[in-house]
Amino acid sequence: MFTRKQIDSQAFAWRNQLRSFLQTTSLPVLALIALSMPTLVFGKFYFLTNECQLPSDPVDEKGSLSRSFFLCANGLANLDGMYITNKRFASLSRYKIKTSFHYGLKHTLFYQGYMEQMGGTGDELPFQRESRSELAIYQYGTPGSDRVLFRVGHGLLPFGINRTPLVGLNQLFDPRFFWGSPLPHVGLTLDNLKNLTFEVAAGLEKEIDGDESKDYSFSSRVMYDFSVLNGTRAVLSFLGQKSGPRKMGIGLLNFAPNRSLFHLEWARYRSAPSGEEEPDRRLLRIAYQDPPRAKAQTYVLYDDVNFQHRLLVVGSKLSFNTQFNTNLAIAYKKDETGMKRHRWYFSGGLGFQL
Amino acid sequence: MSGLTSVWIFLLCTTSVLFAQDEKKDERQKPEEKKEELEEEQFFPRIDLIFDNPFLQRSLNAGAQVINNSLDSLLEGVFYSLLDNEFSQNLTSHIRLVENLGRTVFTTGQGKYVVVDRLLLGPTYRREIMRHFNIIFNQGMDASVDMLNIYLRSDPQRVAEEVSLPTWRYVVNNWFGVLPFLERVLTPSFNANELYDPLRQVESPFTFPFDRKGFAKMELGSIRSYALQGGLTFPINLEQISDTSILDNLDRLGFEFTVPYTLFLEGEYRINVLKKSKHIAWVGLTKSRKSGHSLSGVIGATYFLLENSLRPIPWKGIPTQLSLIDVSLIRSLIDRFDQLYEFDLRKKAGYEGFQKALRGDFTFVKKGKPLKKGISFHFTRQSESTVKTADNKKNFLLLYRNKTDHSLSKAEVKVKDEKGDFFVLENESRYDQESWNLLTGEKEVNVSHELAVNVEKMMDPKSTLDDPKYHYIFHRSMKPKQLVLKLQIKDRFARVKDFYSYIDLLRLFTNLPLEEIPEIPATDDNELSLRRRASPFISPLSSPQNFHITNTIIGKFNATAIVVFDTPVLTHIISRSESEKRSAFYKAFERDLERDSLSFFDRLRYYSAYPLRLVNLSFDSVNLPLEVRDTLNAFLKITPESQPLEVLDAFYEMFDTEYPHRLASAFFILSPLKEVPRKATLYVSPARHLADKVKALIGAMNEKSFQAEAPFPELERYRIARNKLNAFVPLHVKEEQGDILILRISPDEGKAVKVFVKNHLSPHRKLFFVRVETKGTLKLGKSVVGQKIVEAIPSQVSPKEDSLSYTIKLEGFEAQKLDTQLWQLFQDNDLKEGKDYHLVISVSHDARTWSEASSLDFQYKNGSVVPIVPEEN
Repeated sequence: MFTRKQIDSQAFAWRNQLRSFLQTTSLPVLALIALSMPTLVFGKFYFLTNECQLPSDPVDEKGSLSRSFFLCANGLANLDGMYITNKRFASLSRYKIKTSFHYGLKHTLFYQGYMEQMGGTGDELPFQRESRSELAIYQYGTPGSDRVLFRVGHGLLPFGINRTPLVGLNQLFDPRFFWGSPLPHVGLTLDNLKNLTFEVAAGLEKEIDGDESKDYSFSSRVMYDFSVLNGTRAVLSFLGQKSGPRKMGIGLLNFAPNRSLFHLEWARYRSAPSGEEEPDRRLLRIAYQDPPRAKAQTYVLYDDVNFQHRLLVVGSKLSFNTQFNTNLAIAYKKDETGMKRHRWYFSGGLGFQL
Repeated sequence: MSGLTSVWIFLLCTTSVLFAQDEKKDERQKPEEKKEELEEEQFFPRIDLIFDNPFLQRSLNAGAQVINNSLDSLLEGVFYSLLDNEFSQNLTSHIRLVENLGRTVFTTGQGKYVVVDRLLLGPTYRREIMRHFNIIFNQGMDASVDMLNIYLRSDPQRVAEEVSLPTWRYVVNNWFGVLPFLERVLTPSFNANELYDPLRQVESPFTFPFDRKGFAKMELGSIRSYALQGGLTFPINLEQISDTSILDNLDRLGFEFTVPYTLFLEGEYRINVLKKSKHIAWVGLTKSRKSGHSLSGVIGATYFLLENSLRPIPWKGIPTQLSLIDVSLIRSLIDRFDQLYEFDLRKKAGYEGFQKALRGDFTFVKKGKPLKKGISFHFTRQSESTVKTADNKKNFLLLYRNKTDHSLSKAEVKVKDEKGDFFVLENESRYDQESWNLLTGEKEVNVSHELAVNVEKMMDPKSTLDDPKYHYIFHRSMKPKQLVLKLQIKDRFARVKDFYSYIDLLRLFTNLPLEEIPEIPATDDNELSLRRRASPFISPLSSPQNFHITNTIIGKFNATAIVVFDTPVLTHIISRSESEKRSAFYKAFERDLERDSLSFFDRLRYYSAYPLRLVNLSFDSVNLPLEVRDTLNAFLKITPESQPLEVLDAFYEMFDTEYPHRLASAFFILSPLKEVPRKATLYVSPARHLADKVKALIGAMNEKSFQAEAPFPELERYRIARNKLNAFVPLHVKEEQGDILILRISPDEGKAVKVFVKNHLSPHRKLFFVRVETKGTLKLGKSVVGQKIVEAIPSQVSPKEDSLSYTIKLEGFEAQKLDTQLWQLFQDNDLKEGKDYHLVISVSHDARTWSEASSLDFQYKNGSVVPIVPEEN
């Protein structure tokens, strides 16, 4: 089992991790609290958690809602462990915060960030820590009610469906490469409020060391809902960089009447004409997930990159109540490139949700 | 056999059909005619039009044989096409022997299906004659025997055959167990009757009822039909004239490109037998000769999905068609003769006459002599018509297809019935728009019109008996004119907005207010409100999961409408002033009367958009200015003094339009509305997933009829004859169900229901087909808990209601003979507490003839059956 030294080292790592997480998230959270202060004086204030909802339909009570302030806060904490074939172990602790602050129905600030620390045995699973702000953005307009929305801030450009049912350690298997990195951008959404949404955004890429030329990204995404298959959406998206790389994605999402979700997605990355060293990549994703409110929420995910890297995960999230849950999963990963490796992964963990 | 001999035999065969002459006939009058209503007429194709003539189709698509125009849907492509096959054997380098097998299934709307099996066999000859300036001249000749077997099928019948058929036949009929499996796992739109009993297709030639035994084997209401066909075609391929680079590019992409202009001459001699009752047969004879020319254009390709994936099994793959352009224009002259006799096979003369008639020998009819006992004459009908048709199709890889067919004809018809000869000038049009897509299935709107002008044929006073010349005058004792307009709408998945657009069309077409149409919310208000409340908090990263609340699907929507403009109304309309007519047409076509003349811009838009019709795109705003001008000009040619042929020509010209419903609207403006009989009927079947409140609103509209005060006129002699011909239309294939009828189903104790069956006289012991399906959350699939045939005796007799009640247990569903072991592992054949179910029951005396199916939605609760009743508004 674990030695005393290992336990001390782990405890130290967790303390550091928590400190780092608080450092990363404290500024935006404090900013939101500061913003909320005037509401105590000038208007009605709502503090919402979990599945946030307006107290009434904005169509019916536009007047009173437009003078109110809302703070929607969601927090997630996960502690996971994983056994990998060939007697290797890995552990992960992950904290995630999702908040949004709304003034009336038009002005919204979103913040979303996470902090994670992973460690394990063997060279393949080195100790690593990461904290990341996924989204810090201002939005003008009310989704679901307004035909035009405007956004400015830091986050991912709209591309693909970019949704994974994976929880805990298994999230590390997500091929993030296809979805890109958050970057400062502006975006515009046009919605006919019936069945069609069109999003367009342009962002500034991070400067690469030694390269002074600036690089821009632009993306567009069209989403169409089929009335005939109520709860079915087709998503077509495109993302391009000034320097050349292009991405294209086609996807289909279907919510069954019981809210179980089926997800089919195909994405393609084409490197810049000059960057021959980077081959084209393709992702095929098929996923199924039980309804979110089910006590035992089973999910299945199959990812295939370039028809060479295959991943199959079958897992289940068991909820004790609305706050506490546990998850168990089994994953099979196969790499058919020169390395010809395949692995089984067994994982389990505990989760807390605010 | 040398090539020359083959051609010679071929020619003989063909010409014998083409030049078959009418025999001398002597018909007997049949004393009584049943009164039939005009409004019952339906929209289904005639027996000879169910399948396209393969020879003409080959000529139309000359050079593009790979394109399979018969593919209608994904299920058609993957499964149903298994029973549509063509086998050919090369006899010489230009002659092939072709065997064509096909199956078409029609839905009757009562849970039954009419299956049409076809076998066509004959040689076909094709040869290139010459090339001149890149134009290829071909010639072709065909002769064939065409056999049709038309019969009813229903699910109970299929299940009951498990008991009645030998095991080997039952196994073959069900494709060695594959069919029951597919029926369980595929979507409800999969129709097992399309594939069930494949052997019956090849049995068609051997099932013709040449004797009493053969006739007894025919199901009541079924039809056997055979024909000798032959034709000459001269296709001229024009596509090579175009730029070779275009041809090369299309070829590189795998597309076929062909523009054949074809001259054709074809003939058919067809005999149809209908089993009217146990001993009564109707035998119809149809002789037709058709000549004309056609021009078509095709750019498209057929691809095969999963091509050769089942090697070494020789399966090509799933054919999918991509046709960018597929248009054809046909002009033809048709000379057609129909006659109908009735035979009572119990009588000796009737049986002998029947046997002769089946061989095309009608010599039992002696001029001036009465028909023998057991033979009755219904009518003969001879027509010469000019027909023009325009078809336009677009097909995108089994995902989407749309089709527009427009046909227009005018004919001079001579009818002989029990009262003697009479003449009718007939003008008909049919405008069909059909679209299909993978998600919603089929959607169809058909508008048709029929103008019948009763006339007397008079000899010109100046002509001589040696060289007689004739002209027509309006009939002096029969109603001179009658115009009938019909509309049919079919939509398998209608949304609320589709529903209201159909209602608007019905209002325009019938001029009925349709006031009782309820207001159905376009979207689910509760869901919409929930979305508005939750959406502001959804992170932009999760926006793909923030679905819209889309237009509500109401379910299946069908509607029919009929309008009759009888002689007095038509006379009134024709006698209106020119300015009134002009005003009415402009109003109906939603054009501004002030802008009477066509502007340069109108013409420019019309002609610049014209090429888009090649891909089946047409715009009302562009077409209407010219359409109103053309139809009005044609109508203005009719005056109160016009002669019958002038009226016929004017209507022929007027109905050459894409907007027949607007013509109906114009006629309403000009007519005394109170005198115009009109009727619209809705058939709505609410989707299962709908909220109970909406379901009740929609359900209340099912079979709802809206009718104007004016009564429909009684059928004229001409229409009675037409309706008899309609007996050979697939929809009219009916079982003689007697008076067996399920009155209601109610819960009984435990897992059982009581079925009340009307019918005291027939044997009390009856067979019941019982099927239980799960109801509720499943949206795309269905799950059959079990189905069985049970024999039962009545548990109660109710003389007051003239009914018998039977207790049917909803348990003991055993696996069917062909259910696979794998399926049985997952199959749960028992009712579960608290679950919703859908029960279907049908009853029969003999396992061959089944009543209409009745159904009950229920929940199995506290150990008993509790019916689910939709909440009333």
